[in-house]
Amino acid sequence: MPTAEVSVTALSLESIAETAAVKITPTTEEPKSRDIAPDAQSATREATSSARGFIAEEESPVDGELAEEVDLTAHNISGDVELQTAEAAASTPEVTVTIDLSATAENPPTIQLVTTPVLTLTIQPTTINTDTLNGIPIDEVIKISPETRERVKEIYVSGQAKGRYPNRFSKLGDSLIATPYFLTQFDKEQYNLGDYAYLQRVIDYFEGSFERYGVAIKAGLHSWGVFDPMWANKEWCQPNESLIACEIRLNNPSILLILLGSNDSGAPDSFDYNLRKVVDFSIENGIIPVLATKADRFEGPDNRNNLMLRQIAADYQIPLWDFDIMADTLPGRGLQEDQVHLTELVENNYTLPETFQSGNAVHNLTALMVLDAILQIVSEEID
Amino acid sequence: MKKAILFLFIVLLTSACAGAGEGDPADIVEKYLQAKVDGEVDIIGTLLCSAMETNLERETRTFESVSDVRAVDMACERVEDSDTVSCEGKIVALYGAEETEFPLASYKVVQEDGEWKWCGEAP
Repeated sequence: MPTAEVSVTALSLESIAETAAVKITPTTEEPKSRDIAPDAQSATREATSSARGFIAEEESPVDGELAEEVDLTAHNISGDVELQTAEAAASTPEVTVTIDLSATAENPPTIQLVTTPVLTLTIQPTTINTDTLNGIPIDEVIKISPETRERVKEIYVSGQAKGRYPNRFSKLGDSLIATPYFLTQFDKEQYNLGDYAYLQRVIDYFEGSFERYGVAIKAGLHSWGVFDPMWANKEWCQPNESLIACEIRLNNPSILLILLGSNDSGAPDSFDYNLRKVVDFSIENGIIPVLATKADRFEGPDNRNNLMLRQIAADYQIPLWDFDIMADTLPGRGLQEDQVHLTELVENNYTLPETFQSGNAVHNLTALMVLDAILQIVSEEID
Repeated sequence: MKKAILFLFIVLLTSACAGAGEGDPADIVEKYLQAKVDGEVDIIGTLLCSAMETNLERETRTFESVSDVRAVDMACERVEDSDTVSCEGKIVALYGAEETEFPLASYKVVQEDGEWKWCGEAP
Protein backbone atom coordinates (compact mmCIF):
# COMPACT_ATOMS: atom_id res chain seq x y z
CA MET A 1 0.00 0.00 0.00
CA PRO A 2 1.50 3.29 -1.04
CA THR A 3 2.29 5.78 1.62
CA ALA A 4 3.65 9.24 1.46
CA GLU A 5 5.76 11.34 3.72
CA VAL A 6 5.40 15.01 3.24
CA SER A 7 7.94 17.60 4.14
CA VAL A 8 7.10 21.20 3.63
CA THR A 9 9.75 23.07 1.79
CA ALA A 10 7.95 26.22 0.87
CA LEU A 11 8.85 28.55 3.64
CA SER A 12 8.19 31.97 2.37
CA LEU A 13 4.78 33.51 2.29
CA GLU A 14 5.16 34.30 -1.35
CA SER A 15 5.93 30.79 -2.41
CA ILE A 16 3.17 29.33 -0.28
CA ALA A 17 0.71 31.73 -1.76
CA GLU A 18 1.66 30.77 -5.29
CA THR A 19 2.25 27.05 -5.03
CA ALA A 20 2.29 25.00 -1.90
CA ALA A 21 5.13 22.78 -2.96
CA VAL A 22 5.65 19.58 -1.08
CA LYS A 23 8.18 16.85 -1.51
CA ILE A 24 6.94 13.30 -1.34
CA THR A 25 9.12 10.45 -0.33
CA PRO A 26 7.95 6.86 -0.64
CA THR A 27 8.42 5.04 2.59
CA THR A 28 7.49 1.77 4.19
CA GLU A 29 6.92 3.36 7.52
CA GLU A 30 3.63 2.47 9.12
CA PRO A 31 1.27 5.37 9.19
CA LYS A 32 0.45 6.79 12.54
CA SER A 33 -3.28 6.66 11.81
CA ARG A 34 -5.45 5.64 8.97
CA ASP A 35 -8.92 6.22 7.72
CA ILE A 36 -9.71 3.56 5.14
CA ALA A 37 -12.74 3.86 2.88
CA PRO A 38 -13.20 0.19 1.73
CA ASP A 39 -15.68 0.88 -1.02
CA ALA A 40 -13.44 3.35 -2.76
CA GLN A 41 -10.33 1.29 -2.07
CA SER A 42 -8.66 4.40 -0.95
CA ALA A 43 -6.40 4.96 1.87
CA THR A 44 -5.81 7.89 3.94
CA ARG A 45 -2.39 8.34 5.15
CA GLU A 46 -1.21 10.64 7.75
CA ALA A 47 2.20 11.92 7.10
CA THR A 48 4.25 13.95 9.38
CA SER A 49 6.91 16.37 8.64
CA SER A 50 8.78 18.90 10.63
CA ALA A 51 8.17 22.51 10.05
CA ARG A 52 11.44 24.16 9.49
CA GLY A 53 13.02 27.52 9.40
CA PHE A 54 15.39 28.60 6.69
CA ILE A 55 18.44 27.35 8.53
CA ALA A 56 17.18 23.80 8.66
CA GLU A 57 15.96 24.01 5.11
CA GLU A 58 19.37 23.09 3.81
CA GLU A 59 19.45 19.88 5.79
CA SER A 60 18.73 16.54 4.18
CA PRO A 61 15.08 15.70 4.13
CA VAL A 62 13.73 13.26 6.64
CA ASP A 63 13.79 9.57 5.79
CA GLY A 64 15.91 9.50 2.72
CA GLU A 65 16.09 11.03 -0.67
CA LEU A 66 13.36 12.97 -2.35
CA ALA A 67 11.60 10.89 -4.96
CA GLU A 68 9.24 13.36 -6.40
CA GLU A 69 8.40 16.99 -6.10
CA VAL A 70 4.72 17.78 -6.41
CA ASP A 71 3.02 21.05 -6.98
CA LEU A 72 -0.20 20.80 -5.01
CA THR A 73 -2.04 23.31 -7.13
CA ALA A 74 -1.27 21.26 -10.22
CA HIS A 75 -3.00 18.31 -8.54
CA ASN A 76 -6.03 20.27 -7.51
CA ILE A 77 -5.12 20.08 -3.92
CA SER A 78 -6.78 22.80 -1.99
CA GLY A 79 -7.43 23.72 1.56
CA ASP A 80 -6.66 26.28 4.16
CA VAL A 81 -3.09 26.83 5.06
CA GLU A 82 -2.65 28.21 8.47
CA LEU A 83 0.55 29.94 9.33
CA GLN A 84 1.54 30.58 12.84
CA THR A 85 4.26 32.73 14.22
CA ALA A 86 7.45 31.08 15.37
CA GLU A 87 6.45 31.74 18.95
CA ALA A 88 3.09 30.07 18.56
CA ALA A 89 4.51 27.20 16.61
CA ALA A 90 7.02 26.45 19.28
CA SER A 91 4.37 24.64 21.27
CA THR A 92 3.28 22.56 18.24
CA PRO A 93 6.45 21.97 16.32
CA GLU A 94 5.08 19.29 14.02
CA VAL A 95 2.86 19.56 11.01
CA THR A 96 0.25 16.99 10.28
CA VAL A 97 -1.05 16.69 6.74
CA THR A 98 -3.73 14.20 5.92
CA ILE A 99 -3.66 13.14 2.30
CA ASP A 100 -6.05 10.95 0.36
CA LEU A 101 -4.19 8.70 -2.03
CA SER A 102 -6.36 6.80 -4.47
CA ALA A 103 -5.70 4.92 -7.64
CA THR A 104 -8.04 3.19 -10.02
CA ALA A 105 -7.76 2.26 -13.65
CA GLU A 106 -10.03 5.11 -14.62
CA ASN A 107 -8.60 7.52 -12.22
CA PRO A 108 -4.83 7.70 -12.09
CA PRO A 109 -3.12 8.38 -8.80
CA THR A 110 -3.71 11.82 -7.46
CA ILE A 111 -3.17 13.44 -4.19
CA GLN A 112 -6.03 15.12 -2.45
CA LEU A 113 -6.54 16.53 0.93
CA VAL A 114 -9.58 14.84 2.40
CA THR A 115 -9.65 16.71 5.61
CA THR A 116 -9.07 20.31 6.27
CA PRO A 117 -5.36 20.54 5.89
CA VAL A 118 -3.67 22.63 8.48
CA LEU A 119 -0.01 23.25 7.93
CA THR A 120 1.71 24.71 10.89
CA LEU A 121 4.96 26.19 9.71
CA THR A 122 7.65 27.60 11.85
CA ILE A 123 8.62 30.68 9.97
CA GLN A 124 11.91 32.40 10.44
CA PRO A 125 10.38 35.86 10.32
CA THR A 126 12.90 37.74 8.28
CA THR A 127 11.16 39.42 5.43
CA ILE A 128 7.52 39.73 6.33
CA ASN A 129 6.70 43.29 5.35
CA THR A 130 10.22 44.23 6.23
CA ASP A 131 12.11 43.77 3.02
CA THR A 132 11.78 47.46 2.40
CA LEU A 133 12.19 50.47 4.62
CA ASN A 134 10.49 53.71 3.67
CA GLY A 135 9.98 52.15 0.27
CA ILE A 136 13.66 51.36 -0.23
CA PRO A 137 14.65 47.71 -0.64
CA ILE A 138 16.85 46.77 2.27
CA ASP A 139 19.43 45.18 0.02
CA GLU A 140 20.03 48.60 -1.51
CA VAL A 141 20.91 49.94 1.90
CA ILE A 142 22.76 46.96 3.32
CA LYS A 143 25.08 45.97 0.52
CA ILE A 144 26.67 42.58 0.94
CA SER A 145 27.63 40.78 -2.24
CA PRO A 146 28.40 37.07 -2.38
CA GLU A 147 32.08 37.99 -2.48
CA THR A 148 31.60 40.14 0.58
CA ARG A 149 29.97 37.23 2.39
CA GLU A 150 33.07 35.16 1.84
CA ARG A 151 35.31 38.03 2.86
CA VAL A 152 33.32 38.54 6.03
CA LYS A 153 33.71 34.88 6.90
CA GLU A 154 37.44 35.02 6.31
CA ILE A 155 37.88 38.06 8.53
CA TYR A 156 35.67 36.58 11.19
CA VAL A 157 37.63 33.32 11.27
CA SER A 158 40.86 35.28 11.43
CA GLY A 159 39.47 37.30 14.31
CA GLN A 160 38.37 34.23 16.20
CA ALA A 161 41.92 32.90 15.93
CA LYS A 162 43.01 36.13 17.59
CA GLY A 163 40.46 35.68 20.35
CA ARG A 164 37.97 38.37 19.33
CA TYR A 165 34.64 38.29 21.12
CA PRO A 166 32.05 37.18 18.56
CA ASN A 167 29.23 39.06 20.26
CA ARG A 168 30.83 42.48 20.50
CA PHE A 169 31.06 45.36 18.09
CA SER A 170 32.80 48.71 18.39
CA LYS A 171 31.99 52.15 17.08
CA LEU A 172 34.44 54.48 15.35
CA GLY A 173 33.33 57.97 14.54
CA ASP A 174 32.68 61.57 15.41
CA SER A 175 29.95 63.60 17.08
CA LEU A 176 27.31 62.07 14.82
CA ILE A 177 27.50 58.99 16.98
CA ALA A 178 28.76 60.59 20.18
CA THR A 179 25.17 60.81 21.26
CA PRO A 180 22.81 58.76 23.42
CA TYR A 181 20.53 58.53 20.39
CA PHE A 182 22.89 56.29 18.49
CA LEU A 183 22.03 52.66 19.30
CA THR A 184 22.14 53.04 23.08
CA GLN A 185 18.35 52.68 23.37
CA PHE A 186 18.60 49.03 22.42
CA ASP A 187 20.47 48.23 25.60
CA LYS A 188 18.17 50.44 27.64
CA GLU A 189 15.01 48.79 26.36
CA GLN A 190 13.84 52.11 24.96
CA TYR A 191 12.47 50.63 21.79
CA ASN A 192 9.64 48.77 20.17
CA LEU A 193 10.68 46.91 17.04
CA GLY A 194 7.15 46.53 15.72
CA ASP A 195 7.23 44.69 12.40
CA TYR A 196 10.98 44.37 12.74
CA ALA A 197 10.75 42.10 15.76
CA TYR A 198 13.08 39.63 14.10
CA LEU A 199 15.90 42.04 14.86
CA GLN A 200 15.52 41.26 18.55
CA ARG A 201 18.03 38.46 17.99
CA VAL A 202 20.63 41.10 17.12
CA ILE A 203 19.88 43.10 20.24
CA ASP A 204 20.15 39.96 22.33
CA TYR A 205 23.32 38.75 20.70
CA PHE A 206 25.25 42.00 20.89
CA GLU A 207 23.87 43.00 24.27
CA GLY A 208 26.08 45.60 25.89
CA SER A 209 27.67 46.88 22.69
CA PHE A 210 24.82 49.23 21.86
CA GLU A 211 25.12 51.28 25.01
CA ARG A 212 28.89 51.30 25.02
CA TYR A 213 30.49 54.43 23.59
CA GLY A 214 34.03 53.11 23.72
CA VAL A 215 37.14 55.18 23.15
CA ALA A 216 36.97 55.41 19.37
CA ILE A 217 34.29 58.10 19.33
CA LYS A 218 35.33 61.72 19.62
CA ALA A 219 33.65 64.94 18.57
CA GLY A 220 35.41 66.46 15.60
CA LEU A 221 37.20 63.25 14.70
CA HIS A 222 38.35 63.06 11.14
CA SER A 223 40.29 60.40 9.38
CA TRP A 224 43.70 61.88 10.22
CA GLY A 225 42.86 61.72 13.90
CA VAL A 226 42.16 58.00 13.92
CA PHE A 227 45.85 57.11 14.12
CA ASP A 228 47.11 60.16 15.99
CA PRO A 229 47.65 59.20 19.66
CA MET A 230 46.80 62.75 20.65
CA TRP A 231 43.15 61.96 19.86
CA ALA A 232 43.17 58.91 22.10
CA ASN A 233 41.60 58.97 25.53
CA LYS A 234 44.52 59.51 27.92
CA GLU A 235 42.62 57.95 30.78
CA TRP A 236 42.22 54.61 29.03
CA CYS A 237 44.79 54.45 26.29
CA GLN A 238 48.50 53.80 26.47
CA PRO A 239 51.22 56.18 25.31
CA ASN A 240 51.55 56.26 21.53
CA GLU A 241 48.39 54.21 21.20
CA SER A 242 45.86 55.43 18.67
CA LEU A 243 42.20 55.49 19.60
CA ILE A 244 41.39 52.66 17.21
CA ALA A 245 44.13 50.42 18.61
CA CYS A 246 43.03 51.36 22.11
CA GLU A 247 39.40 50.50 21.39
CA ILE A 248 40.36 47.12 19.98
CA ARG A 249 42.51 46.36 22.99
CA LEU A 250 39.78 47.34 25.43
CA ASN A 251 36.72 45.87 23.74
CA ASN A 252 38.17 43.10 21.59
CA PRO A 253 35.29 43.21 19.10
CA SER A 254 34.52 41.20 15.97
CA ILE A 255 32.87 44.06 14.13
CA LEU A 256 33.81 47.73 13.72
CA LEU A 257 31.16 50.21 12.64
CA ILE A 258 33.02 53.01 10.87
CA LEU A 259 31.21 56.32 10.61
CA LEU A 260 33.63 58.93 9.33
CA GLY A 261 33.66 61.54 6.63
CA SER A 262 31.67 64.46 7.95
CA ASN A 263 34.83 66.18 9.18
CA ASP A 264 36.94 65.28 6.18
CA SER A 265 36.30 68.05 3.78
CA GLY A 266 38.40 69.53 1.06
CA ALA A 267 40.96 66.76 0.92
CA PRO A 268 39.52 63.77 -0.91
CA ASP A 269 42.88 62.11 -1.40
CA SER A 270 43.52 62.22 2.30
CA PHE A 271 40.15 60.75 3.16
CA ASP A 272 40.60 57.93 0.73
CA TYR A 273 44.13 57.24 1.99
CA ASN A 274 43.15 57.28 5.64
CA LEU A 275 39.97 55.26 5.24
CA ARG A 276 41.89 52.54 3.51
CA LYS A 277 44.35 52.57 6.39
CA VAL A 278 41.47 52.18 8.83
CA VAL A 279 40.03 49.28 6.84
CA ASP A 280 43.44 47.64 6.52
CA PHE A 281 44.01 47.98 10.24
CA SER A 282 40.63 46.48 11.03
CA ILE A 283 41.09 43.51 8.71
CA GLU A 284 44.63 42.88 9.92
CA ASN A 285 43.22 42.64 13.40
CA GLY A 286 40.51 40.19 12.40
CA ILE A 287 37.69 42.68 12.82
CA ILE A 288 34.96 43.00 10.21
CA PRO A 289 34.88 46.63 9.08
CA VAL A 290 31.50 48.07 8.17
CA LEU A 291 31.64 51.31 6.21
CA ALA A 292 28.71 53.65 6.66
CA THR A 293 27.76 56.45 4.32
CA LYS A 294 26.43 59.62 5.83
CA ALA A 295 23.43 61.84 5.37
CA ASP A 296 25.17 65.19 5.27
CA ARG A 297 26.88 66.92 2.37
CA PHE A 298 29.38 68.73 4.53
CA GLU A 299 32.26 68.22 2.11
CA GLY A 300 30.23 69.65 -0.77
CA PRO A 301 27.26 68.88 -2.98
CA ASP A 302 29.14 66.34 -5.08
CA ASN A 303 28.85 63.80 -2.26
CA ARG A 304 32.43 62.76 -2.85
CA ASN A 305 33.06 61.22 0.56
CA ASN A 306 30.10 58.89 0.25
CA LEU A 307 31.20 57.94 -3.24
CA MET A 308 34.60 57.18 -1.83
CA LEU A 309 33.15 55.08 0.97
CA ARG A 310 31.18 53.02 -1.54
CA GLN A 311 34.25 52.53 -3.68
CA ILE A 312 36.40 51.45 -0.76
CA ALA A 313 33.73 49.00 0.41
CA ALA A 314 33.60 47.53 -3.08
CA ASP A 315 37.38 47.36 -3.41
CA TYR A 316 37.79 45.57 -0.11
CA GLN A 317 34.58 43.53 -0.46
CA ILE A 318 33.39 44.56 2.97
CA PRO A 319 29.85 45.39 4.13
CA LEU A 320 28.48 48.77 3.15
CA TRP A 321 25.81 50.40 5.29
CA ASP A 322 24.54 52.90 2.78
CA PHE A 323 22.53 55.22 4.99
CA ASP A 324 22.88 58.01 2.45
CA ILE A 325 20.21 56.25 0.41
CA MET A 326 17.84 56.09 3.38
CA ALA A 327 18.41 59.76 4.07
CA ASP A 328 16.71 60.53 0.77
CA THR A 329 13.47 59.21 2.28
CA LEU A 330 13.61 61.44 5.35
CA PRO A 331 12.43 65.02 5.80
CA GLY A 332 15.47 67.26 5.42
CA ARG A 333 17.53 64.11 4.88
CA GLY A 334 17.01 63.36 8.56
CA LEU A 335 19.31 66.20 9.55
CA GLN A 336 19.04 68.84 12.20
CA GLU A 337 19.33 72.53 11.35
CA ASP A 338 23.12 72.28 11.46
CA GLN A 339 22.87 69.99 8.41
CA VAL A 340 25.25 67.49 10.00
CA HIS A 341 23.71 65.77 12.99
CA LEU A 342 20.70 63.51 12.73
CA THR A 343 17.30 64.34 14.12
CA GLU A 344 16.62 62.60 17.40
CA LEU A 345 14.01 60.55 19.17
CA VAL A 346 14.34 59.37 22.74
CA GLU A 347 12.64 56.06 22.07
CA ASN A 348 12.92 54.00 18.92
CA ASN A 349 9.29 53.01 18.64
CA TYR A 350 8.91 51.43 15.23
CA THR A 351 5.18 51.03 15.60
CA LEU A 352 4.78 54.78 15.11
CA PRO A 353 4.91 56.33 11.63
CA GLU A 354 6.85 59.36 12.88
CA THR A 355 9.71 57.12 13.96
CA PHE A 356 10.37 56.36 10.32
CA GLN A 357 10.85 60.06 9.71
CA SER A 358 13.56 60.47 12.34
CA GLY A 359 17.18 60.47 11.23
CA ASN A 360 18.54 58.68 14.28
CA ALA A 361 15.70 56.18 14.54
CA VAL A 362 16.07 55.05 10.92
CA HIS A 363 19.83 55.13 11.30
CA ASN A 364 19.51 52.82 14.29
CA LEU A 365 17.15 50.44 12.54
CA THR A 366 19.43 50.09 9.56
CA ALA A 367 22.34 49.55 11.95
CA LEU A 368 20.49 46.58 13.39
CA MET A 369 19.91 45.32 9.87
CA VAL A 370 23.57 45.43 8.91
CA LEU A 371 24.52 43.71 12.15
CA ASP A 372 21.85 41.10 11.50
CA ALA A 373 23.18 40.49 8.00
CA ILE A 374 26.67 39.93 9.36
CA LEU A 375 25.36 37.78 12.18
CA GLN A 376 23.64 35.52 9.68
CA ILE A 377 26.85 35.17 7.70
CA VAL A 378 29.09 34.41 10.63
CA SER A 379 26.51 32.20 12.31
CA GLU A 380 27.51 29.54 9.81
CA GLU A 381 30.95 29.70 11.36
CA ILE A 382 29.57 29.83 14.89
CA ASP A 383 27.51 26.72 14.26
CA MET B 1 96.28 82.91 26.42
CA LYS B 2 95.04 81.68 29.78
CA LYS B 3 91.93 83.82 29.36
CA ALA B 4 91.27 82.28 25.96
CA ILE B 5 91.56 78.76 27.34
CA LEU B 6 89.27 79.63 30.23
CA PHE B 7 86.67 81.10 27.83
CA LEU B 8 86.76 77.99 25.66
CA PHE B 9 86.36 75.80 28.74
CA ILE B 10 83.31 77.79 29.84
CA VAL B 11 81.75 77.52 26.39
CA LEU B 12 82.23 73.78 26.30
CA LEU B 13 80.85 73.39 29.81
CA THR B 14 77.78 75.42 28.93
CA SER B 15 77.15 73.27 25.90
CA ALA B 16 77.39 70.13 27.96
CA CYS B 17 74.96 71.44 30.53
CA ALA B 18 72.50 72.25 27.78
CA GLY B 19 72.12 68.52 27.20
CA ALA B 20 74.49 67.73 24.39
CA GLY B 21 72.00 69.11 21.90
CA GLU B 22 70.71 72.35 20.53
CA GLY B 23 68.19 73.99 22.83
CA ASP B 24 66.24 72.83 25.81
CA PRO B 25 64.25 69.62 25.21
CA ALA B 26 61.29 71.05 27.09
CA ASP B 27 61.31 74.14 24.89
CA ILE B 28 61.52 71.97 21.80
CA VAL B 29 58.45 70.02 22.89
CA GLU B 30 56.46 73.17 23.64
CA LYS B 31 57.49 74.61 20.31
CA TYR B 32 56.46 71.42 18.59
CA LEU B 33 53.05 71.27 20.27
CA GLN B 34 52.38 74.91 19.42
CA ALA B 35 53.29 74.22 15.80
CA LYS B 36 50.89 71.30 15.81
CA VAL B 37 48.15 73.55 17.16
CA ASP B 38 48.89 76.05 14.42
CA GLY B 39 49.31 73.45 11.70
CA GLU B 40 52.77 74.83 10.83
CA VAL B 41 54.16 72.19 8.56
CA ASP B 42 57.64 73.72 8.25
CA ILE B 43 58.22 73.94 11.97
CA ILE B 44 56.80 70.49 12.60
CA GLY B 45 59.06 69.16 9.87
CA THR B 46 62.20 70.52 11.50
CA LEU B 47 61.26 69.31 14.99
CA LEU B 48 60.00 65.84 14.11
CA CYS B 49 62.42 62.95 14.63
CA SER B 50 63.39 60.92 11.60
CA ALA B 51 61.55 57.85 12.88
CA MET B 52 58.29 59.76 12.62
CA GLU B 53 58.85 61.60 9.38
CA THR B 54 56.22 59.48 7.68
CA ASN B 55 53.66 60.98 10.06
CA LEU B 56 54.38 64.56 9.05
CA GLU B 57 51.09 65.09 7.25
CA ARG B 58 49.09 63.50 10.03
CA GLU B 59 50.84 65.62 12.64
CA THR B 60 50.23 68.76 10.62
CA ARG B 61 46.57 68.13 9.84
CA THR B 62 45.41 66.57 13.06
CA PHE B 63 43.40 69.60 14.12
CA GLU B 64 42.06 70.68 10.75
CA SER B 65 38.53 69.50 11.53
CA VAL B 66 38.17 71.67 14.62
CA SER B 67 38.36 75.41 15.11
CA ASP B 68 39.77 77.90 17.60
CA VAL B 69 42.54 75.48 18.54
CA ARG B 70 44.79 76.68 21.37
CA ALA B 71 47.15 75.39 24.02
CA VAL B 72 45.97 76.14 27.52
CA ASP B 73 48.29 76.23 30.55
CA MET B 74 50.99 74.37 28.67
CA ALA B 75 54.06 73.77 30.83
CA CYS B 76 56.70 71.21 29.88
CA GLU B 77 59.67 70.03 31.87
CA ARG B 78 62.41 67.54 31.16
CA VAL B 79 62.36 64.58 33.53
CA GLU B 80 65.82 64.79 35.10
CA ASP B 81 68.39 63.93 32.43
CA SER B 82 66.18 61.50 30.61
CA ASP B 83 64.83 61.60 27.09
CA THR B 84 61.36 62.32 28.44
CA VAL B 85 59.63 65.66 28.67
CA SER B 86 56.52 65.81 30.80
CA CYS B 87 53.88 68.37 29.96
CA GLU B 88 50.91 69.74 31.82
CA GLY B 89 47.99 71.61 30.35
CA LYS B 90 45.85 70.80 27.37
CA ILE B 91 44.94 71.70 23.86
CA VAL B 92 41.41 72.97 23.52
CA ALA B 93 39.41 73.21 20.32
CA LEU B 94 35.89 73.98 19.26
CA TYR B 95 33.84 71.51 17.32
CA GLY B 96 30.70 73.39 16.42
CA ALA B 97 29.69 74.93 19.70
CA GLU B 98 31.20 72.12 21.69
CA GLU B 99 34.63 72.30 23.28
CA THR B 100 36.91 69.35 22.74
CA GLU B 101 39.98 68.81 24.89
CA PHE B 102 43.25 67.04 24.29
CA PRO B 103 45.21 66.65 27.54
CA LEU B 104 48.95 66.91 27.17
CA ALA B 105 51.14 63.98 28.14
CA SER B 106 54.78 62.97 28.41
CA TYR B 107 56.82 63.00 25.23
CA LYS B 108 59.98 61.35 24.04
CA VAL B 109 62.83 63.43 22.68
CA VAL B 110 65.87 62.23 20.77
CA GLN B 111 69.02 63.85 19.56
CA GLU B 112 69.68 63.95 15.86
CA ASP B 113 72.64 65.85 14.41
CA GLY B 114 73.10 67.53 17.75
CA GLU B 115 69.55 68.81 17.95
CA TRP B 116 66.64 67.69 20.05
CA LYS B 117 63.65 66.33 18.21
CA TRP B 118 60.13 65.46 19.29
CA CYS B 119 59.54 61.74 18.85
CA GLY B 120 56.05 60.85 20.02
CA GLU B 121 54.61 60.05 23.41
CA ALA B 122 56.81 58.58 26.09
CA PRO B 123 56.00 55.26 27.72
